[in-house]
Amino acid sequence: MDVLYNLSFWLLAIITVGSALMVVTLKNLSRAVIFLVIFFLGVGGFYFLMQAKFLALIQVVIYAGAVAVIFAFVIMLTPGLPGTKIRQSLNQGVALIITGLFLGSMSLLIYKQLAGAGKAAGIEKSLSLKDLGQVLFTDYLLPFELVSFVLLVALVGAVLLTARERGEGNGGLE
Amino acid sequence: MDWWLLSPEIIVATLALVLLILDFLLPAGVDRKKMGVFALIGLLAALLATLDIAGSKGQLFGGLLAVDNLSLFFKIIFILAAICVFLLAHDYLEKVPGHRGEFYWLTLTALLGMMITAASSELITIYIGIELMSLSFYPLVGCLKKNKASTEAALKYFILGSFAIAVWLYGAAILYGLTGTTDLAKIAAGLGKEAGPLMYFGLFLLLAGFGFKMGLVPFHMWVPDTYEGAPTPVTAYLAVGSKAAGFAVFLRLMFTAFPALYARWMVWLGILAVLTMTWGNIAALRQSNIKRLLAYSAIAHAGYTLIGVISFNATGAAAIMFYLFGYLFANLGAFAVVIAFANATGSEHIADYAGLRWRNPFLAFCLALCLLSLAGIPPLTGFFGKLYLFLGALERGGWLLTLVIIAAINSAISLFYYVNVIRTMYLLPPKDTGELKSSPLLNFTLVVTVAGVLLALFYFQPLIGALQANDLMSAAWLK
Repeated sequence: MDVLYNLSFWLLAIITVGSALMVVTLKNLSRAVIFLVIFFLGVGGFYFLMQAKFLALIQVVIYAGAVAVIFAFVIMLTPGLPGTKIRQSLNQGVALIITGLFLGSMSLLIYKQLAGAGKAAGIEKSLSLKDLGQVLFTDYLLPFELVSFVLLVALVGAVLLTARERGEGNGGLE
Repeated sequence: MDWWLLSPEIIVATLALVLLILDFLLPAGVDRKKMGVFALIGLLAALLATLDIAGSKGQLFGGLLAVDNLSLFFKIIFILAAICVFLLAHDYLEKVPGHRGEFYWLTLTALLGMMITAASSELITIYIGIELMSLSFYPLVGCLKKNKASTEAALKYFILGSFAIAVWLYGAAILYGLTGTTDLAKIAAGLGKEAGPLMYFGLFLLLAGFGFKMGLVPFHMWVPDTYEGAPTPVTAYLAVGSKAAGFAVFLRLMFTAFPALYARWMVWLGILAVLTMTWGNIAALRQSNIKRLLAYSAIAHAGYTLIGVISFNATGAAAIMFYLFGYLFANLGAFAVVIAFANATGSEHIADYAGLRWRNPFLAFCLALCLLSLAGIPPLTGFFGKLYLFLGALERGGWLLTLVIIAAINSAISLFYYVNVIRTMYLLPPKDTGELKSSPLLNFTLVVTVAGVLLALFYFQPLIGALQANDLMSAAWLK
């Protein structure tokens, strides 16, 4: 059991980190999106390993499914974007240094924390769907309702930014 | 649970939804400006509701939202800011053809987000409040679609803002992992006396996220571009509302969750405050665009305000509230003149303000007063705010004395660029001698803001007294 767990952990780690690296370095955006899907699936696998089954399911359905499809649509619908090579960052050297520093300090700190007396706090509740629903509709009712406001704001904001003004012609077909 | 305590939020949320539905139902020909009037009436109701529950205390939703002096006072600031923004936007919206209903809706949801942010005492609610506010601001900043600067401003704000909130979330996740709770008071209890290095790292990430919202150096890169490119009423709203919300929640987080780590974070914040004040003022010296000048001055003011957090006592907390209250009026007044001037001439260059005294003495006088208040000249509100911030720091003592000296030097530097604008208006001859008209509504807004700036002497003592009498933070360790 332990061997199997470790094996799947390292396999997932290699897949996730590798595909994430591909996403940020590839110059062809369509290919980057494919690796993004693999990355999302890898993260979903981690959730599954940590027994957060619902979260894993959501990760696959929403991120690997919906979000990646939206990415793909945007790339397909933007004229001249599919197949072109685009440099992702103006200065990848600096980005590498900053990421390296962040990663290094983060790993060091976590290692120190685990080596010392400080441990992560235990989780009291299980992460089943039933518990999640119960927490959402009792303790976190207010944030839950506010999220609906956030979604509505995003919708109306998108309308404000993209809708044509009155008398501006129909669909830019002219 | 006492629902009455939630009445300001309920009024604002209902108002926003009603306006959204109205905008949808009303035929295309109906002037959407009437919706602005409706929104103003609703906001006045929300203001009255907030004043009605002033002084009360309570916990809502099992401790997610705190109703206390801190949150109620900031709610008053936000609602006042929103009212002024509606007054300012009324004429300005002529430039935004078509979709005006959405403008009102987004302004109100931003207000709701600020109110939630200032009141929340739990990390998830804080996050959702901040997101509600920020997501409302992104489209508002970019709503001049034909204007390249506005679009660029929105894009910069959006990308950097999303990045900052992601960093913030990472910090929050670390805190949750180490303490097992998202409740600020419980985090303080779980923290105990000592903390591991990872905890400091989490706190640092939270600080970076808030630093972005408050516009602290080195997280300020978005401020000048966004302030310059955004429609001016939105800029005023951003400068006053968004920043005050950031400070409100930052104050609560630091005072409630991290008193145990004070010795460490006071040093960090001290460095940030010095950097922010100095960089903001030095960069402001070289600006030729009035909106950019006000943006850098906003950065500098964030640095002064931070002193109140570092003081970490009741005086400091009350000083922040009073300071932001005065800043609200002075800043909105300055932006009102900028809007009036841009409506008449289309220019935002300081050089074009030459001779404004002859072209419109009222505008020139109001701008001069507001800028002097921002600089902190004695009988005006800005002076008392700064004085109070410094008093809080001196009460704490130690190396905070150095901080006060640096802040005083910075105030002197800031006088250069504020007075330079006044000199341009009053001493330089105008290029164009024609009279410059401003609309009655703008003049009315100016009268309100200038009254706020001038009457500090009268509300200074009572306000501060009220803030202190009702033990602000109600925490034992503050004494």
